[in-house]
Amino acid sequence: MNLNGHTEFGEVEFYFQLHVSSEKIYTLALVSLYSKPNQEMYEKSIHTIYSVKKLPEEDALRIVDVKTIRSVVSLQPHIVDGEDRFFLWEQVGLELLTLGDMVEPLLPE
Amino acid sequence: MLSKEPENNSPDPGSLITENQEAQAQVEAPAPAPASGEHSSNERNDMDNSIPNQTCSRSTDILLDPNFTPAIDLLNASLEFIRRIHAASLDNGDLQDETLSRIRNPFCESLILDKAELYSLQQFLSCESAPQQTYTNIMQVHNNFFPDFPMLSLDQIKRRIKEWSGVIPVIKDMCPKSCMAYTGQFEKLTSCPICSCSRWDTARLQASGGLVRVPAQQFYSYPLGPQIQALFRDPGMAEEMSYRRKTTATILRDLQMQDGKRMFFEDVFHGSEYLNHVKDGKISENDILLMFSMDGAQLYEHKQSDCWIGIFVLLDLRPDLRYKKKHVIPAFIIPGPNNPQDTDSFCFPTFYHLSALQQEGLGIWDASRELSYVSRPFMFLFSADGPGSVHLTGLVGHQGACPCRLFCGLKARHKPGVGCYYPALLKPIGYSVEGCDHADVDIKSITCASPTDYDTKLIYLLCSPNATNYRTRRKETGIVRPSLLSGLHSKYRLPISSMFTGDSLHVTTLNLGDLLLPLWRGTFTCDGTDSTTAWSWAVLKGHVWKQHGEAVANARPYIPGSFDRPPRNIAEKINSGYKAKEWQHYFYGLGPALLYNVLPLSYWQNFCKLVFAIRILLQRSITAEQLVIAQHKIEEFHTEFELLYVQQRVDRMHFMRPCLHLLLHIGLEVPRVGPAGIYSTWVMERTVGNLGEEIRLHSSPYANLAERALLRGQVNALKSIIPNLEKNTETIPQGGIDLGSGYILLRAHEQTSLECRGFVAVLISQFLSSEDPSYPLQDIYRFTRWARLRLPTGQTARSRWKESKKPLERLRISWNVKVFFSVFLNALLM
Repeated sequence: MNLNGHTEFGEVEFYFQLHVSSEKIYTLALVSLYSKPNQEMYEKSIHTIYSVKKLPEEDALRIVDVKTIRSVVSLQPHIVDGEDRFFLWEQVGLELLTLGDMVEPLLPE
Repeated sequence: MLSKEPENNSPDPGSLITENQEAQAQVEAPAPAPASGEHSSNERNDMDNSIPNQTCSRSTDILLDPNFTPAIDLLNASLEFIRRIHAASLDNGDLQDETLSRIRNPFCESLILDKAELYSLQQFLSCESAPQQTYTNIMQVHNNFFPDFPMLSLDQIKRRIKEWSGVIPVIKDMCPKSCMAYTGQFEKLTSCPICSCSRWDTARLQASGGLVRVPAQQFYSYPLGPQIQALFRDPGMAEEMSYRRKTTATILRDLQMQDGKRMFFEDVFHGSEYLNHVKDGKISENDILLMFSMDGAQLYEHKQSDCWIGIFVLLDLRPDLRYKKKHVIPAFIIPGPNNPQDTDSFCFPTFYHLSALQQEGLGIWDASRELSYVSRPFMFLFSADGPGSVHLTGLVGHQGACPCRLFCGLKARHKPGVGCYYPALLKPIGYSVEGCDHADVDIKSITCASPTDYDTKLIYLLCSPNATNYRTRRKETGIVRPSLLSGLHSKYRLPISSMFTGDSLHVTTLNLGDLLLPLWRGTFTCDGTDSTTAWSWAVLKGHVWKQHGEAVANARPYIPGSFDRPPRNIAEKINSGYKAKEWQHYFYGLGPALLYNVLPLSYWQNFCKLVFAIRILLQRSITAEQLVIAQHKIEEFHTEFELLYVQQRVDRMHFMRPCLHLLLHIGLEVPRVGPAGIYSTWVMERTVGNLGEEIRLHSSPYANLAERALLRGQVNALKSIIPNLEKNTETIPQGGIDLGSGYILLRAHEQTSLECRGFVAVLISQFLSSEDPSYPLQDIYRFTRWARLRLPTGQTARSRWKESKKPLERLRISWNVKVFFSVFLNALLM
């Protein structure tokens, strides 16, 4: 965890721009955050399973500046104790990919 | 063998413990490294001191001693190449006068082209990936319409490119079956000493009655000198080449402020190997720091690797430039059809040239500082994963009996009567094989590569009295022959074994896959005295295995497109070439969750420790604190693996595959040469691969590849000399908005604006007032929605708005993101 803040995971509903004044434009995203991780699972799995669940809309929705979005991650559905949850999978060695010629091509649409 | 002089300072493995004692104490309290044997606390480091470097190792003395002749022919042949490289001179006739004069007297001005030249060059570059006929077609059309401003012909432009770039290949004959090349001591032979094939095109030789001698096949090397010089001729590019100099200054300053402690590892410059060489003045700021890599390229589907490509990576450039196609320097191409037998003979021209440059110096005119100096390219690392590495290291391949290719000096054990050695740390119960029955090895005593260990073993091998003896010693030492790189003067390179880096690619994926899955499935080799029914961990059988495979395949829709190659159903595809990337995703992405409640708890947790550690070790930047924890966890994984699976049974010693041992080195190498990612071929895979993709002519792919690589070298050099030639490769797609810092807003973009009210409008108001309380707040906000966002990671984040309507089987969900909340913002949200 970073000293100056913390990370959360969420689903992007959409991106949008707000023109608040003639010179100031915000580029924002509406994001539905997932819950805090299941701590017991996290500990038991040597911090390898970060299992979250969806939150009710009023707890989940956030407006964020798009530049706070750090990476695309995978959240895989799984069931823990009969409960529908998702476990986090961050791409191993992600930052290394940008070093080579390995990034996704930019597609028009 | 493990002995290091009781010297103060090696900042390598010791530093994992001492450097971060406090950090470690906070995390978990591991047992302090026992001061067993030679592994005393003396090894603990302090970055203020430096390793006393040997200028010349004992084995190098022997290699270069003309009075020393080994009894084995193979070793003699290697020595011959090595001695020639040692005595290299630029004037041996390989280089054209033009190249020679450039190397000694670099151009001291920028390259200025006239309008027609620049125009023709730009046209040529825009046809780069098209068949060459395209250029000629364009030229003809152009010249018809604009006869007063004619374009250069294809032949003319190619000759100019060669002249401007200064990249002229050294072309040598080779055996048409690709056994060897006619270089060095083979220069004058007329037939292949391996397969007896003629050097000449026999049809033409016979037709002419023995008069016309045309080489049957040739291969190209691309001299390094002019390719390096090109990078300094434009002020902007030359500035980029100063990255190492600037970073080194920063690191040294930080070290001073942090009492010699490194807080994080991000590049090779954070490694002790580099820092000590800088402190000793062996690497100066004007030198060039080289990493060499060699990899197989597959031109045809059905063949393993039918072509080998050697490249240099310039570590002087910042990491996000140095591995890119346009900055990677082609060194040579060894064409097929077969794998080379005598690789040294193919690598010889490249390292001969490098040796000559190191000794005579390479003239550099640095346009950014407007000054000239003589540079000595320093051979720093040799990076090759798996099969590629054995070619130049002179070590035995995967099947080697000696488990550690990094020469940590670990004493291995073998089963009674079986010659294969295993890195079993624990002494099996009731085990008494002579030479292998040493007591349990403490995992904390395992250290980095030891130049002394390699040196001792190499001398032992060189002195083999006869062929039988040589074979035994080869097996014992893991060395086949001295590395060709030994020919480089030792002051312009790292000690040979220090140049080798670990193999994080194969070890963490394919090799572990070959071990863990067969164990979990109960299909691993089981000795007669053992029984798989006693294998409590062998649970992936029958419908459990089938379900597990389906679970892997079902993950696909939830794997973002940017993750590359989703793993296939492992139960169905494990034997049909499960790729490294698939293994990586399987183990380190899906593994812990999909194996939970499948593997017995203790085995599952053991596996989780591996996952935990590798996820950290493959990061681009690793903090000292993370490194301590990761190394601790991987040691636990290793120790427990022996206890849980092997259980100190002689008949299970074969579970101790070399990859288990090599896992330990991934972390140990970090304080020495930086994180694995920096020298792993993960980053170069694509670069090497797309040289192969560029092949257009199918009639003669090997010759074409060599021409392509030549053109690549020339064009890269030209792009460095004239940087504004390069069209912006990644233009923003139509309708996209560049937001800066690597963020790009991408379509789809809604045409009519949305009226947003209610809860979301409240959220927007809250956001705005947290930004600036003076903003007027509204009940309704109007805006248009966007679908995608390009991130600085190179990934494209999508959104539920456009994607969630698609059927699951067509999806690769990319709308899940990691968001960073700063403390300030967070406080307001609470």
